[in-house]
Amino acid sequence: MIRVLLAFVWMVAAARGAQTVYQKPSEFIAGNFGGRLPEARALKLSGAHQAMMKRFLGHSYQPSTIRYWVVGGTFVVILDEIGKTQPITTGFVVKGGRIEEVKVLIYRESHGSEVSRSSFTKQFRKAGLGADGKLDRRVDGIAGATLSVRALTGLARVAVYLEKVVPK
Amino acid sequence: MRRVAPRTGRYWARRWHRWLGVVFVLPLLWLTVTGLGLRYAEELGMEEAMVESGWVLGKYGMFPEGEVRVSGEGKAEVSEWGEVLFFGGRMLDEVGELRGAVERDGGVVVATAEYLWVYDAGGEWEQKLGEESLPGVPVEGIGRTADGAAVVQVGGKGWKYDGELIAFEEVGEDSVEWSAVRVGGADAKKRLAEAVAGQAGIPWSRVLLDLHSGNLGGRGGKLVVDLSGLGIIVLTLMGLKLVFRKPRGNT
Repeated sequence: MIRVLLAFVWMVAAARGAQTVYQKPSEFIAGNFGGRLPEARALKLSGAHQAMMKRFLGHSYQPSTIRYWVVGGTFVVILDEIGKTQPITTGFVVKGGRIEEVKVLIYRESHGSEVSRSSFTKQFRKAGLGADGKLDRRVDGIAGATLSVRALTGLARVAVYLEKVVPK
Repeated sequence: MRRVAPRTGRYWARRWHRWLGVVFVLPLLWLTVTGLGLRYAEELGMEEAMVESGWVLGKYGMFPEGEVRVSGEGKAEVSEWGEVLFFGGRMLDEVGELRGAVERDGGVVVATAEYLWVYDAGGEWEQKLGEESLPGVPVEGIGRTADGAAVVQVGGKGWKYDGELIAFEEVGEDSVEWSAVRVGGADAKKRLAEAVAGQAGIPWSRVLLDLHSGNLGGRGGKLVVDLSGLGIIVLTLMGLKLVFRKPRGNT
């Protein structure tokens, strides 16, 4: 029910074109593979995967199939998560279980775009998953962008987890 | 000769108190009844009962504007109403300008200008293909080859996807059956309106809250609530003034 309500808000904002594209996803991916866009792979999330998603995000991940790009141990994935009412499209680069880069690619919320600043996203660098399933590096929040920070932190956990479970 | 009492402050307070009471009786009743309703909304089942009234939902701007456009047939029929997409009688979370829809493995692939949205046979959202997985944007159309492969039209050319929707290659457009987008009639709009009403997810307690705060009445409603609030304050002060008046002297 909440999703439908959020969808309404999303569609109104989307109809107004209220989104900021910081970087095209294809450019982000290619930028991490020497300017070449490798062929995508797809992982259909199983029940076990979705159980982990619920742990990281508080809900199962949709869509149920995630596309990723992997070359030479470098794993790139583009993930969406709703901050307050809109999905935040974020690119993640993970290598050896540690985050190499986080970049907000498309931001659609009206507030909280501070999460797209590199001063915030660089906090995720070299973060991995601890035994408790949380990031093993502290990520300081941003006043007024709590939900966006929470969304990105959850996605970061998802990205590290996916890097471990996807077929290489 | 009858002595005329001097018009003291108490006289005016009583007079204004009376008339303000008359003027604000309806708004005050409104606030009181809706306030009581909110207090007992859970007990009255208003948290769970969802609004299905088209008139009320219209007040919330829940119905998209513009004409309805329809693409695909049967199970693969997808409708667009004001950039809101509908599939299988339900509203989708996704939005975009509909370019067509084709059946795939019992499910459907919906093309909007920026994305392909893939749903499985059960109607569950399976994949989203953005510009990183497309031959380019905007997507101009979608179709199928005779062997059931999805084809997107970008830059005036047809691009045929493999079964996993991962790789694509250019294909001659003659071998493609393109999905058409047609304008839906009043019946289609009525069906979509029913779908919106069934999924809007607005509980009656929310309506009551917006009635109480005046939000549902727009600027006029808010003004009435503001004035009613001021009226309560003024009536209270005047009432206190009248109750705790100083005893008259015996001069």
